[in-house]
Amino acid sequence: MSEEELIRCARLGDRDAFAGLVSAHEKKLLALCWNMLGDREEARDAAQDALLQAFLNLGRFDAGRSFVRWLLGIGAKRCLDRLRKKRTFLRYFQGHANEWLGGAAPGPEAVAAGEDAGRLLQRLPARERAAISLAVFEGFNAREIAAALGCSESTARVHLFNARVKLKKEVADEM
Amino acid sequence: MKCEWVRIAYRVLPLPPWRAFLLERHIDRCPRCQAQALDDEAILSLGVTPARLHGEPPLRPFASESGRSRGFRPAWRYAFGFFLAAAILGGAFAIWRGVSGEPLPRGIVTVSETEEDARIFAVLEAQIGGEPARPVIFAPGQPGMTIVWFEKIQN
Repeated sequence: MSEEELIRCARLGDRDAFAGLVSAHEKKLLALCWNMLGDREEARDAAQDALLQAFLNLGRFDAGRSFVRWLLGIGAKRCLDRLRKKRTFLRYFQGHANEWLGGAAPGPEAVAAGEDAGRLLQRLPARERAAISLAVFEGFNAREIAAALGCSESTARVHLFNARVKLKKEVADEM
Repeated sequence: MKCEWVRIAYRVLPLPPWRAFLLERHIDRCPRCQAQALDDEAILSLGVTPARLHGEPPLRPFASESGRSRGFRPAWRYAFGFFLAAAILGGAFAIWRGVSGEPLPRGIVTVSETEEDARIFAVLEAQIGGEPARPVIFAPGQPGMTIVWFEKIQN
């Protein structure tokens, strides 16, 4: 069954068709979430969340676009949401950590530490990390990144450039 | 120097088309700026690629099989409930039959004990439901044990 037929069946509520549709792209989605979140379990949760969102919003999918790009865009947004919530939680938690636990709470860097894969990527700001993940690992161009992140194309280009520069510095510092 | 000017212009110029033009024409193509940035191959080695997720278990947005079986689960639950109710009702009916059913025949046994120590007795008369009953004596072979019961005399 072709991708168009799978999409048509999935739009009618056929879960098996949707499972067949995403099975070819789920590794890409998981890799994107892993690069953005830096944690395997969290990446799996985010990817599941993105798949559910994609299924629920399949009626809004433009058939003229690439399904995998659309799916990865949803995944990037879900990851950004998670990072924002995590940052808010950590900010609040760190303020009370001494009072509650008698010690400092781990920061975002400490949470990300220990994950070898994407360790340097985790040092980037969330939007730059999303931009570089979509561009380098998934082949998105600036316009597609802008559509996925909900920003202008020039902003997406700046995110990309800044991310590349920062990564080069990080790599140089590591060596 | 030129690169610095372009970046300042990017920050100062408010118009998106100008910013986009500067970025596209300069930052994306300027060799000096590109030299400050990490290339794609190096970045790929820093992160997770789909090829590295070969042994990763598949994501399951929702189990396609469970959708169907979920529809049957309530039926099985109801079937179990129905069976339980039937068993309770059946048990209650059996107890009711046992208690309030046909009364067992009342028997009368008249025993004359001759010697208390020797535990020797004789059955003089036995009746079941007002009719004479026949005694059945069974000696299992153990010393001092004799089992006696009575049964209706079938005509």
